[in-house]
Amino acid sequence: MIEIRGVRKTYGDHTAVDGLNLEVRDGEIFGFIGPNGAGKTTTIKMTVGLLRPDAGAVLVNGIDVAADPLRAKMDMGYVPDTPDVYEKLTGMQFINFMSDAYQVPTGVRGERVRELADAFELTDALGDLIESYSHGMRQKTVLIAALVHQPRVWVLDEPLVGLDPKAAFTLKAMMRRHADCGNSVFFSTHILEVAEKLCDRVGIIVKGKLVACGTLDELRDGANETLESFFLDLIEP
Amino acid sequence: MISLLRLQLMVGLNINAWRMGKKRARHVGMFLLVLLAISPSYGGWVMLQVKAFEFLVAGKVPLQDVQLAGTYAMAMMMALLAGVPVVYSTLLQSRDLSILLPLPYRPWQIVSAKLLVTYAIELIACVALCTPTYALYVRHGFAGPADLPVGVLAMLLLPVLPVAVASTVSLLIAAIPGVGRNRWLWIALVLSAMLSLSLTLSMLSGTGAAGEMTDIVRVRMAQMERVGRLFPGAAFGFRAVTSHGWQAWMQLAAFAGTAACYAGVALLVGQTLYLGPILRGGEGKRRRKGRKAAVAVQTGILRSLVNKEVACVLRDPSVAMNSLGGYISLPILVATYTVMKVQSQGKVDVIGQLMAAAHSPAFQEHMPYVLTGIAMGLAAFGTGSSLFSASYSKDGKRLWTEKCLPIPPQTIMVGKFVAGLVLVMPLHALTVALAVAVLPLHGLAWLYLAAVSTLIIAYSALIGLAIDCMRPKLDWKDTVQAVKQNLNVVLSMGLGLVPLALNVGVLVFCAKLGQPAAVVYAGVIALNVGMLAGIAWLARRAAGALDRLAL
Repeated sequence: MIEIRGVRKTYGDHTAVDGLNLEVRDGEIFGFIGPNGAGKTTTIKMTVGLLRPDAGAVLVNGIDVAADPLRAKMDMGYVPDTPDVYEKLTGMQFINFMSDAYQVPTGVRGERVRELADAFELTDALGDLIESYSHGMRQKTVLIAALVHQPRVWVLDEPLVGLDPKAAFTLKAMMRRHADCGNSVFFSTHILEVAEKLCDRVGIIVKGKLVACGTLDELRDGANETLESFFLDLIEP
Repeated sequence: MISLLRLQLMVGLNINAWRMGKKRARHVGMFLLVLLAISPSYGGWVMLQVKAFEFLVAGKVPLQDVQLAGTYAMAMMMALLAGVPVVYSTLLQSRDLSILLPLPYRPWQIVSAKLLVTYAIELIACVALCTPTYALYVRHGFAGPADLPVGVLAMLLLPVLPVAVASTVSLLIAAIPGVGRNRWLWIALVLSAMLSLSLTLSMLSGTGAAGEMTDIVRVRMAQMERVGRLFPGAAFGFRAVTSHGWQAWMQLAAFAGTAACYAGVALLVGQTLYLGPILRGGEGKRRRKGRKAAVAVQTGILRSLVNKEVACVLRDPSVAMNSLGGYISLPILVATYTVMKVQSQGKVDVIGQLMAAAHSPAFQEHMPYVLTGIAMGLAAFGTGSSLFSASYSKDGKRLWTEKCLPIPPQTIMVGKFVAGLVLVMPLHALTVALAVAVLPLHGLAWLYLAAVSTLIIAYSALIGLAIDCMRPKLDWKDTVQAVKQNLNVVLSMGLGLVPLALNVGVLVFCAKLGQPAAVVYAGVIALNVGMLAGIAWLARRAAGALDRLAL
């Protein structure tokens, strides 16, 4: 579970996130959508501890990320919006490094990596240097590394970008399974059809403020419109 | 085709930098600095040519053709040796093939456009080298105005042969399966080429003394001309510039034909070995061949951090060269001093002078002070680099991994510290062993040397890490920018001088009080241990800056 309480972040004069309140419950996939520069990535970075909020707090499974970052991070898996990884490591070296940080034992690790690498069809390439990977392969490597310790909370920033259709399908199925097991998935996307089909609840952020949040039915409020038309109506000035 | 050639020249020679407002001022400044830096040696070269021709004319020595041909041959050798790094950069390091290959150009056109950049760079160097000699050749009446067009055209054709050979050889090496594209191999090749180039140029340096002139003109220039003739067909070029009338034009035509053959072979090899594998799609397969099987094994987080750091340093030659450059400079210095000794026939013997000083009675008399100075010098090999002071910066935007992992920032700093020591210590041990072997040390003096230099390396490393953690340079496109153009490296070196100044202070204090050697040794060790403890405490606090870092 993720609780974002009155979080604010400014860069100079620009307020990126303005008093955001949000809750990602156990057992749900929460889609975070908004136009470019709305504050999605800033919110996600504050959630995983890459940025410190100027005000407010983020709690992951009841643990304050700012006050006890190590415990909070232990139960989170994060995939950034761009897969910037160490190009001079092999895929497996990078995954091993991440797994060591999460203290994943060898036996569990081997099985888990095999399972994830097979699912994403990356097994044969794990011994190669990351510099030889395509964008999609790097994204898959980051996904495996983020999920290898079986975190309860997944925080994924645009995770489908660069993935081939099969890998995207696999990831979506994994997200669904993970949520159905009582865990939380918090992810941002620009693909509204994906959000519509996959998410239990959706939050729409515009200019750093949460302007709408709820299930798709709640957002539509009885009207027979798609998430896309609802979103476009909402962000139109 | 013209637009392709223009584009490659624009990119290869960075011509836009000369046109754009702010960048232009910087580039003009840099250009002037480079001119200033090379002007003494270039001035020396011109003066040597002036004296050589005066010697030839005054003594009526009929070797003016050898002088000119030797200079042309030397320019060809220079273009060949300097061509290897230029070819590596323009062909093997270029990243624009994904843009060029889909365009409606034939492969040979792309290769020729890239080779043109190499030719243009080499031409500038050849013209700079040959023009003074040719001008003097004309001025002293060995060639008339009618011969000038042939001289100019021969000079334009001159770099074609060495550039073609450099590119053909480079591409043949790059095509060797498994090792051909290894960056370390190329660094070794480029360094060897640069060293050979420096030796070639130094072969023809001199003060201009009369006795030396005989040696330069009669022996060394003749040798150089013979070396130049190793390029089949180069003799046509030499004869073109030293002949007159229709004979000169005939020789020039033969030289042009030879150059066309060389260019044809280079284009054919380039098309086959450079673009061929890419067009066939074999590049990726070749890169992935022979990798170790991937195994998922748990290790402690500190070890994992150290392994990651070591791999990231050693597998990136630009980072590795900058990190361990101090130690690489040692054999280069020794080689340079040895060459200087041989060239000066023993008159300039830096190593010999140092050895004599080390075996003098003064060395024994001031042993504690000299030894501390040597320890500082040995430590400088390990600390005068970006290994520690750009350790966070070189991670760049990838620092998100460490930041979002459940690892305390202090552990991350310890990981970087230990990784640095893992890389530096074997080389440091080697330099200490070398110093112990050549210096007349008694008793436990070697231990003092090792201990003090290691302590200095340790706290200098922590200073570098602390500074880089507090203000890392994370926005870069290439790791070279992170490690070379990083103010933290300079700041760390500057701040690292403070503890060294304190060491000097202790030595001066002890010397003034006339303290015995044991007290000096104990004082220096106590100071450095205390400094390590204090700096470690400060670095631990500085490590927390990673938490506050916005990514």
